[in-house]
Amino acid sequence: MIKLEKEHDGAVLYVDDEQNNLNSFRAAFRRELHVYTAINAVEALKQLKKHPNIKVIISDQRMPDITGVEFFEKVRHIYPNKVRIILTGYSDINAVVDAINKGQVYRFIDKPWDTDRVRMAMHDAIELYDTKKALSSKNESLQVAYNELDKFVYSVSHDLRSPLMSILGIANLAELDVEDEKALEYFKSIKGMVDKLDGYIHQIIDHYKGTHGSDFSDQIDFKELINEIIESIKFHPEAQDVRFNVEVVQEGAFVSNHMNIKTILSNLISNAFKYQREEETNKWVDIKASVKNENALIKVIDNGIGIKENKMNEVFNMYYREKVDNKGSGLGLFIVKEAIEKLGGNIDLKSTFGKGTEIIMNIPGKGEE
Amino acid sequence: MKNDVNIVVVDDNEIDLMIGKRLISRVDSNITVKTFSSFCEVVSWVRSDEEYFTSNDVVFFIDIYMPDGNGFKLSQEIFDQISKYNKKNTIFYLLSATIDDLDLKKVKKSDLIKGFIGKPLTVDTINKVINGLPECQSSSASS
Repeated sequence: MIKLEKEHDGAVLYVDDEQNNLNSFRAAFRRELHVYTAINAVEALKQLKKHPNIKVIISDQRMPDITGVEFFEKVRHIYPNKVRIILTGYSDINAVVDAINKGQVYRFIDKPWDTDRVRMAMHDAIELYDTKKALSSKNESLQVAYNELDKFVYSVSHDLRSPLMSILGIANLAELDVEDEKALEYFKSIKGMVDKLDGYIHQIIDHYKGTHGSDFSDQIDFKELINEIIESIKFHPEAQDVRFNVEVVQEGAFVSNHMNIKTILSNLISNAFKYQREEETNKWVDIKASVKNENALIKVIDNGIGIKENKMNEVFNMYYREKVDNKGSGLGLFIVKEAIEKLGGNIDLKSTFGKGTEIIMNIPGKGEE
Repeated sequence: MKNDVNIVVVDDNEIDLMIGKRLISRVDSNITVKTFSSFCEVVSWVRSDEEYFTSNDVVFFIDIYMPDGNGFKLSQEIFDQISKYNKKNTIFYLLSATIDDLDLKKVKKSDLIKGFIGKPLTVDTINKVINGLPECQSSSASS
């Protein structure tokens, strides 16, 4: 048999216009629960205000001034978390439908009620109340933790970048002031390493934003976005002799997460121009995007170093690096894959080692809601 | 305002102040540069030196995150103070190593702040500012 525990289970309010019913309810449950009773709706509201520990409200449907459903409709707006149970002495289907729609009642109990059935219903109702309460407090603390994490991530990235940018600033200044060729070479190496570390910080932040952001309502203009990315890498030393060909056919709107799309494209484009064959005199990167029916097909093709066949499955792994050189962090394609999965798309890779790589992606738009 | 440009750099990091000062004098040795390393220092200077603002056009480069206050607040405070003076032109730029989009959005939304400059300050950026080019974007492109 189900037992209720007076210590932990909080309180129940029973509303009925017949004093006899109130008395017998109290007699049946007072040893197991804190029982409050009310003879009418006004009294019930007073009790609710006075006893915030009430978790469950049981009300008779047929009362002279107000029906149980009407009463619950009112209560639901003031105390949305309290679980509502209705007692009805006749099977009136309309009352039942109303109870569900208007009063959002958790359970019905036939009248005259049977102690065990009421006990069971209250037990379940209290459990529901507690679960909901626990869930919402978990949600709240999760939100707090999430906001703190956000602040933490940005302040750490700022605090890491600040001294790094000072180093870069001094190196820039040194390049203007110093004439010694050896020293200039050293400063150039320092700048190269600062760039690398800064790129790493950016990627970590992109990764963070990509996994935590949840806004999918950005309008994406692929032509604008791709040009913006190419513009930002134009001055990169390794992009100097690479020809970028952009081909965009966008029919209609594409709605998605701007951050994710940008992360995907900028990682793929920078891989394409960074991993070129040095001896190649005609280096190129093709970027093709076609948007149709809210679906984007994107290709990034290069004639760079390509990927060895036995490495194809590994390139998307975290910290995978083709060469132990200074170029990559081993995060680029991992981040791309994560972002694509988040958008519900897929990515495919074709490559011939020594000839080039072709990356093909399908990304569904989220449509407008 | 090409001839008598006055630049005020505010940053709690002394090295960044030095970089700013030296770069600016590289760009144009006629520019006078003032540097301050804290929020409070600037505020008390602005309060006491009315003469400076009534006789000069001033460009502020202000770091966003400083221990005793942020750049948005400082710009507003300076502006409120000098609005009481019969001042000439004053322009505010905010500088930072931040990569938080919220900071950039805040700059864009602000009527008072003319632009955001990603650290480090460079000769290019300074040139753009003193040639009156309105937009100054972050110099550090994400990779």
